Amino acid sequence: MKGEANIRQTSYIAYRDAGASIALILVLSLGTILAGCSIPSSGLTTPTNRYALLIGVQDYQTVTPDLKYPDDDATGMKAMLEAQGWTSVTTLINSEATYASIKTHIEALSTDPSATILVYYSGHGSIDEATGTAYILPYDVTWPVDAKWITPATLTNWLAAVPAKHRMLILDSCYSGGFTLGDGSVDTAQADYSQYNYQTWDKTLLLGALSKFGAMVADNLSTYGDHEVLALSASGSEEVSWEDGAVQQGVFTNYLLEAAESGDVDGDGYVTVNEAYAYTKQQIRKNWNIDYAYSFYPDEWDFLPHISGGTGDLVLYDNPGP
Amino acid sequence: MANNRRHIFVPVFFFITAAFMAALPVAASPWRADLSGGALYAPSYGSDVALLPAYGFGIGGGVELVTNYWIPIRGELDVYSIGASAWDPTLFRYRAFWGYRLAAMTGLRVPVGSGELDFLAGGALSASRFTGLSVVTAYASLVGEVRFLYPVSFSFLKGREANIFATVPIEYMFRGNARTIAAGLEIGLGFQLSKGAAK
Repeated sequence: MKGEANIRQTSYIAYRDAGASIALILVLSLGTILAGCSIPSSGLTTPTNRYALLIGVQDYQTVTPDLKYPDDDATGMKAMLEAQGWTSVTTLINSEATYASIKTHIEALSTDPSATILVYYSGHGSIDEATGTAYILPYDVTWPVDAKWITPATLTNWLAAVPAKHRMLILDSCYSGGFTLGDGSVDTAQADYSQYNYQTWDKTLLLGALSKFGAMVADNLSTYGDHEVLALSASGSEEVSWEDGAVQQGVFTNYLLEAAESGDVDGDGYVTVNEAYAYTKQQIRKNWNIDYAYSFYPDEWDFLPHISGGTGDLVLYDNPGP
Repeated sequence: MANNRRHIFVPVFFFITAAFMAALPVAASPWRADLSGGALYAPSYGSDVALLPAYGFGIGGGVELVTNYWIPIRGELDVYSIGASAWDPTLFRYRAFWGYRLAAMTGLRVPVGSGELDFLAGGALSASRFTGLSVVTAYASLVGEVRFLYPVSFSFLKGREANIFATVPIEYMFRGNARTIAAGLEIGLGFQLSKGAAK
């Protein structure tokens, strides 16, 4: 009898254990499936208050050398955004893109506190290696740095002052990764991909992120209600981005435009800034860094896009092609 | 893109876990350990963004000190993943993120029949990464748990008490411009680290 009782008890425990295991597997599976799913976007309509300012500077007043394709970048983006349902798209090309004009046009982008605004820039970028401060260069700057060189802080302040609900910044310029830093987060991707081994993570960057743990927690506790800027850059804060004569555009902008048709990773009908980042990064790595640039100067021409922290993502293209 | 699959906090995870486990044998009071996992509903909102639903899951383990009617300290280490949220009408949504959470809690222990009902509350720190991106962040949160434990026994535990339990975890995350409320249902298995029951 004792043996039977033990067998029964063992069986009972086995059943109960199996039941608990099955329940655990079911709950975990459900959670995994739910976490991997995109919540349907049905019922959404294209907003009528999305405003974009596109800046392209290739022929500078005094700075040399001039670039070749920023005007093509800006006009290409204008055509694409208009086709993708953006309400109003303004361009500033070459001499129209002075420091004062850029500031004025950003301030005038929106009067609607529920609007979404986008500022796109293609042109020269620079960095102060001593301070790590990145810049974009309006048409009327002089060399070396003057008061008209636009810093991330200046641009962020201009954008924050515009009545709007959401703010996007996209930069196709050298060292533009300097505009994606901050927001209570740390970018663990290399600032200079020419020194990057694609197959490994970097111990220095890991330790750098961990050493800022307290600062990130403090930032995330104190920045509620701030005007977040979702920033996407062509390159890291220590590397240049390139133009491509074959497509007569910036390498980054070429793939950014291509993302409208091919970048909808989750198939929900929208290409978000996150998805555009993933697509441009994948294409530049494959087609530029590995295939093209490597054949001339191995690793030296490598660059990859970067994206800012912050909790939100925004739709860039809402009418993707087939 | 392969780099994005690397979990940069794995070494930290193992270090903290190992340190915690190494300290356990010296404890004189009854300690329990457990493993659990479950699904989460984790909507986020912002100062000008309405609550946007999102879903996820978490798995983790905990170690706790048990007295008659109290759980003076519970430490918990979890891995979690939250998907992207639903869309706001302005074509905005909250990013997907995953990470590691280290929580410390304390609470009440109420006997219910042959089981027990626990009410725990505390705080947590999380190291998180936006899914698919190289951007990492860290944030604090308030955590709470309502948990029902039911005793079981397993021969391989050699006389140590064990339990199965169901937990309703609640977390309020301070994530910069977003606030995320996570609630869900977790199921787990626990066992006593030293022989002898806590009455």
